Amino acid sequence: MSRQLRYLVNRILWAVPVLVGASVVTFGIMHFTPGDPARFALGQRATPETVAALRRQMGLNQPVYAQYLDFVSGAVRGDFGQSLQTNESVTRMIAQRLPYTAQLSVAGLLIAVVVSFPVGVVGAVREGQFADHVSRVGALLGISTPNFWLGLLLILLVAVPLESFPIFGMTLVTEDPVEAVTSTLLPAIALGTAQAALLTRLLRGGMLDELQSGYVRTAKAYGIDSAEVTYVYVLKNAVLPTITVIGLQLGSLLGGAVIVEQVFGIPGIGRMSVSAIFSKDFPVIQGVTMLVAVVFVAANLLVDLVYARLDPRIAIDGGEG
Amino acid sequence: MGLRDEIAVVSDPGDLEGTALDRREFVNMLKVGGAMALGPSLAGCASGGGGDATGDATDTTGTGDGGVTVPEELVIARPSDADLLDPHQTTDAGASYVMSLLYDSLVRMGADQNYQPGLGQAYEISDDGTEWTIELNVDSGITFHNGDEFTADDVVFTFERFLDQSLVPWAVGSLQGVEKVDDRRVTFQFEEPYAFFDAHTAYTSYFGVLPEDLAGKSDQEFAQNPVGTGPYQLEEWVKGEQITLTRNPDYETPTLDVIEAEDPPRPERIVWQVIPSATPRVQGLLTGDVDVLVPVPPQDRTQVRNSDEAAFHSFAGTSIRYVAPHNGLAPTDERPVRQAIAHAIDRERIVQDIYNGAGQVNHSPMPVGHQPWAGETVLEEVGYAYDPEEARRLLADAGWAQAGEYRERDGEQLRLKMVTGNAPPSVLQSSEEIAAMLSEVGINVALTTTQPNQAPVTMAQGETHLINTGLGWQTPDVMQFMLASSYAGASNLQFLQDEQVDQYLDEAAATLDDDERADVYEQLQLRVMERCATIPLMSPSIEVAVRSEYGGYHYVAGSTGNVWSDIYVENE
Repeated sequence: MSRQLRYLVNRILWAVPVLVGASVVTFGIMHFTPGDPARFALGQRATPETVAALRRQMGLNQPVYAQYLDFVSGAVRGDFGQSLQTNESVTRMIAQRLPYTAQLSVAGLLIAVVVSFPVGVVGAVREGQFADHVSRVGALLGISTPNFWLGLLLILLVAVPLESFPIFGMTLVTEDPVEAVTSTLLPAIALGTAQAALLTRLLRGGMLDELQSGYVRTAKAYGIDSAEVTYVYVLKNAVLPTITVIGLQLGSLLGGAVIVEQVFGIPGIGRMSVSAIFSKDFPVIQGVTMLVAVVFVAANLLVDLVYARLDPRIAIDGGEG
Repeated sequence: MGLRDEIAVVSDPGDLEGTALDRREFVNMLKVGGAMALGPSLAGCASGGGGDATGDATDTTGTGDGGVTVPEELVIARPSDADLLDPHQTTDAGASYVMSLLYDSLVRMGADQNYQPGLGQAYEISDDGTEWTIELNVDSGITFHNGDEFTADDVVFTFERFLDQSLVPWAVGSLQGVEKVDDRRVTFQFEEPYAFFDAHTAYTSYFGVLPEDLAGKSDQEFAQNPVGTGPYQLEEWVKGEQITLTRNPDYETPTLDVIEAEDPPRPERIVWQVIPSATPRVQGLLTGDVDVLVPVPPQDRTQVRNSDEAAFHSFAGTSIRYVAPHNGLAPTDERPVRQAIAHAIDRERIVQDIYNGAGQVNHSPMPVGHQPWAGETVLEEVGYAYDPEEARRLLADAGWAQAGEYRERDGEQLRLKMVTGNAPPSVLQSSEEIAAMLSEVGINVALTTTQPNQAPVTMAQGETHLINTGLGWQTPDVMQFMLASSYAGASNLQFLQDEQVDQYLDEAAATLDDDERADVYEQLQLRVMERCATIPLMSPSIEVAVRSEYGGYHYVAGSTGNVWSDIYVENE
C-alpha cells in the first residue's frame, strides 16, 4: 500500500468515530429537549389517546437505546425514516432538495474564490497603496454584512429594477442552464460575500508573510523575475492555509444557505431544516444533521488530500500521525 | 394550533345580495315542501344568483360577460407550504387553503352567512335536534377527480373516518354515528343537539367529502395525492416550493351565490407558490410575478395598501389573541389581580405598534369577526379599558403595596411567571410589551420564551400564571374550546372551572335558533369578563392583496372564506 493510499484509508477510518459522535449528539439533542414530538405532530387539539397511538407508531415508547440503535441501523442503510409532518421518506426529501442547496453552495464558494484571489493578491502586492485600502475596506464591509440583509438589498436594488433576475425561486442547472445562472447569481452573491471577504483577508495576510520570507529575497537576489516569484512561489505557499479554510467554509456555507434559501424562497435543505425544527420533525432534523456531518468530514478529507498533493511533507507526517 | 386565519365574517357585509336562505328558512321550507321538491329549487337559487351576487367585501367587482379574460395561471403566494392534503390529518393553514379547492362539503356558507347546497342539497333536523338528515346531490352527475361517481357511501365513509381520525373531533359535538338511509339520504345521530353542525360541515378544509376507501390509496398516499370532487385537482406538488392545481373540467357541484362565472371555475391553473421571506413575496406581487398575496405581512401592509398595483382587502378576524391568566394559581386566582392586569395592558398600542394596525382591539373572549361579539357591551358594563391608575388602585386595595419597583403583600413580591411562543415576531414583541406594561403598575413578570407549540404545553403544566396565546375557528364555538371546564388545563389555559360558564356554553351549542343563541352568547361573554377569567387583547385582521387587473375575488363570511375560483382579468 502506497503512503498516499494508507493516508487515505487512515483518514476515512478516523471519520467513523466522528460520525458516530455526531449521531449520538443529534439523537440526544432531539430526544432530551423538552416537547413531545407526537404532540407537535398532532397539534394542541389532539386527544391524549391519539397522541399515545402516534407515540407507539413512532417507537417513542421504546427505551432510548433501542430507539438509537433503530436510528443508526437505518442511517447506515441511508434510511432516516419518515417525516412526522408529511409521512414522506426523509432520504427522498433530502434527495429532492439537496441539488438546490448544492448548486447554491457551490456557486457561493465559486464567487468567494473568484473574488478573493485577485483582490487578496493585489492587496498584498500593492500593500499600503490605494488598491490595498480598497480591498481592505471591501473585505471589512463584506465580513460585517449579514447575508439575509444583503439578500434583501439585492432583491430590492437589483432584482426589482432590472427584471432580469427572478425575485424568488431557483432553477437547477440541469433544467435550464441560462435560467440557472440568473436565478442563482443573486443568492450566491448573498451567500458568498462574507466568505469572499474572509478569504481575501487570509490570502492577503499569507502573501504578505511569504513576501517577507528569506527565500523570496534569495530568489530575487538570483535575478528571478519578480512577478514569477510572486505568482508562482509565494502564491503557492500562501494558498495552503487558504485551502484549509475553504474546506472548513463548506460547513458555514451550508449554515448560510439556511438563511439565504429562506430569503430567496429556494426549496433547499436549509428551508426544510427550518421548517422541521419548528415542528420538531426529528427524523428530518436527524437526517439533515447527519448529511451535514458527512459533508464536513468529506470536505476535510478532500482538503487533506489536496494539501498532501500541494505539500507532500504533510502526507508523510499526517499519515503516520 | 390550527389558528384559522382564512375564515372570517366580513366586517361590513355591505350590499351582499345572496339569494339563499338562512338556516331556519332552509329547514322550514324543507318541512313544508318536502326535501325532494326543495332540492332542485335551492340548487337553482344558487346558480341563478350568480349574476347579481357580489360577495366582494371591497371594490373588485366583476363585469360578468364581455371584457373578461380567464387567466391561464393564477399565482398565489404563501409564506409556507401545505403539510398534508387530507382534511382529517392536518390543521395547517396552508393546507386548508388548497383543500378548499380540492374538496366539496355537504353544505356551504354563501353571502350573508346563508347556507347553500353543496354535495348535499337540503337537510332536516329532527324535533329534538339530535338527528340531521341530509339529502344528497346525487343526480347532478358529480364525480371525483378519478372519475368515480359521488354516492352516499362516500359521505358515510368520510364521516366515519372523521370520527375515527380527525384532529378536531370536537367540531361535530356529540355525533355518535352516520347512516345511509338510501342512495339519496344520510342521517347523523347526536347524543345532544348540536347547533354548529351545519356551520362546521360547511368548512371544506375539515369536512371535504372523500372517496370511499380513499379510492384505494393508503392514508399516506392520499395525503400526498388527494382525490376530491372540488373545482380543482392536484397536478403537481413540489414540496416546499409550489402546489399546482388544474381546473376540474367535469365540475358539477352547485356553485356559491357569490360566483359570477357561468361555468366555474375560471383560472386554468392555480399555483400556490411558497415564498417564506416577506420582502420577495410583497415585491413579487408589486412586480407581477405573483397575483395574490395571502396573508399580507403586517409590516408591509402600508406599502401594499398604497400601491396602485394591487387591491388590498381587510376583514375582521375570527381568531383572538389573549392573555390567559391561571384562575386557580395564586396570585392570579385573585380577581383584582386579573382585573389589574386587564387594565394595565394598552391594547391599542399593541394593535398599532406591533400589528401595524392589522387588527382590532378586543374586549371579550369572542373574536371580533364573530357575531354576536359583545365587546362594546362588555366594555360598558364591566369595563377593562386601558387605565393603569385603576390597575394600581385595584392592587393596592387587594393589599399589594408598592415596595420599591414592585409590589409586595406579607413580604411576598407580586411576581408572575409568563410564557410565550418565540414566533411569529408579533407574539414575542407583544409579550415583551405586556411584561413592561405590567411592571409599570408594580407587577414583576418573569417571561419565558419557548417554541410556539410548546408554550401552551408549558402553561398546561399548571405552574405558570400567564400565557400570551391565540385561538381561532370559523364559528363562536371557539369559546367552548377556550373556556369549558372539560378543557381546563388543555385548551382552557385559564384553568377556568365555572358552572355558569359551562351552562351557557352547553346552552349555546344546543340552541338551534340563531337569535336565541346570540342572547346566550352575550350573557356568556359578560359572565366571563365579570370574573375577568381571561384577558382578551385583539383580533388580528385577515388581509389579502390581489393584483389590480383582476376581478372576481370574493370573500365570504363564516365557513367559506376566500373564493379563488372565480378570478378573472378585467380587460381595459
